Amino acid sequence: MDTFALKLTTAAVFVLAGAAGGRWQAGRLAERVKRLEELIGGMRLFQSEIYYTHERLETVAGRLASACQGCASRLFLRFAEELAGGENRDTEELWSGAVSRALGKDTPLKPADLETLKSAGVRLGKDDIRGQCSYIEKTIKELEVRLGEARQDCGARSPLFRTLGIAAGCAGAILIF
Amino acid sequence: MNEISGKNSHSLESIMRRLPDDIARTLRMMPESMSSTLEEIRFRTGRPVMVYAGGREYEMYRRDNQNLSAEEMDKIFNLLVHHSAYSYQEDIRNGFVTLDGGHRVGICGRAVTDGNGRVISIRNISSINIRRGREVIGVSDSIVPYLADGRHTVRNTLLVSPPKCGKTTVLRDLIRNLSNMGYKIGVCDERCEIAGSCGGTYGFDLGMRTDVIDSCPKDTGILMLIRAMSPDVVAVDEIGTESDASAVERACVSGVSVVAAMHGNSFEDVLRSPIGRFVRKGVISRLIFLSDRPSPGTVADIRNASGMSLLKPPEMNWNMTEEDG
Repeated sequence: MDTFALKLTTAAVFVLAGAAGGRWQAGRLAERVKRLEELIGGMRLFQSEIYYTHERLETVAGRLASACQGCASRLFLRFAEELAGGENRDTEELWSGAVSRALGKDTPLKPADLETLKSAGVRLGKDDIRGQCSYIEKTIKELEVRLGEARQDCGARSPLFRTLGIAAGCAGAILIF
Repeated sequence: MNEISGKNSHSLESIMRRLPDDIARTLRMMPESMSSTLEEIRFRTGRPVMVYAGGREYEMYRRDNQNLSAEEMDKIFNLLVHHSAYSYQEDIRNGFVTLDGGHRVGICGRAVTDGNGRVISIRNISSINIRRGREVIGVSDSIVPYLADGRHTVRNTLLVSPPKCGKTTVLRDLIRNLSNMGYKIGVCDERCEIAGSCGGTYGFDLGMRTDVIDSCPKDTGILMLIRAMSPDVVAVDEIGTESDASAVERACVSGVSVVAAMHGNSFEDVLRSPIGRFVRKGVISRLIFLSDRPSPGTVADIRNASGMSLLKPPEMNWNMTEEDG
């Protein structure tokens, strides 16, 4: 293969890689929106379960693990496991651990999103029904604000990342030549 | 004897599992003589943990003489209610929750009331008292002949004593005995203490002919039992209010015998209570007075409706210690 063909191939790889990188970044913004929506849906179900069934957190979390979707399901499954295994630990610690383990790794969610979710654990299981539901409602409202930001972010920055990815790939290709 | 010790050590472990690690670890180091007679564990904010066993008071030693902080109290309460205080809301507003195994946890703190002055919750928990539920098989054996012979109906009976004299323990064993004699027993267990219910199963042996309705107000529960289960005997703990008296009256006119426990010190106390009218009329014909001397569950006296003592002291000199159980 002559030098020109090799350069051409490398340039094509650069452009493709740049485009893929841009799409991946844009995808993460969309994924953040999706996960926040799933979490808000999960927290709403959580609130309803507590309000209508009055059952213990372990039972409620176990049921929500199969009723919820995506990351909310993972969160409640992890929380149910933490509750079953952590008899001597505080609820806040168990909830916080569940959030970190279920959502913390390789996540498109921002640290502030996780902190908002973790804050739900502060009064979890420590109030009467009304207090409990109000506190979950507060977390839902905060997550909705985060969702609004995430949607705005996604709308404004997704095309930018895609364009930037392709532009970066093209710039690399030009440099090769 | 082994059966009793086994059951009671198991019941103690069910309390330990619901306490923070450091406190549970220290409590597990109690000598056998103390753990077998353990009655109460008391937690107070800013104070050391107190343990009551064998009629004596002990202060639990913690590293650096540490007293309980508000955060620790919060954690203890949180663990006792399975991380789900809302799930125990009805109990909390009455000032207690019942643990799996029938152990009663009394709580104090800041009462939250509604516009009508009704307590709707308790916050900032400042005192927790865990009262250990015990099962002592055979403790009522000597009482049974005074109320039933297995062929005729059971006499309407009251177990009377001040708190901590073993009323619930004796009542529990009385239910088991009567049930195994062939009587159908309906138990209205408002505080889940008699049966030690947990998730539909019962922690204590109440006999093979016993049906339990738990977490239900006594006046409603007694009627539900009579209508639904047609028992020969209805058993309830801690009666004393006017509504309890009405429910007892309805049971009696339905031809169902009543075996109940109530707080009181003397025959006169019973006569002064809303239940007193049934004693005067002779509807309740056996009153068993319990004492904590020399130990809880000691039968101090057995009287009939006219107040005459039926007890012959030398024959009834027993108590509910492990050795006698």
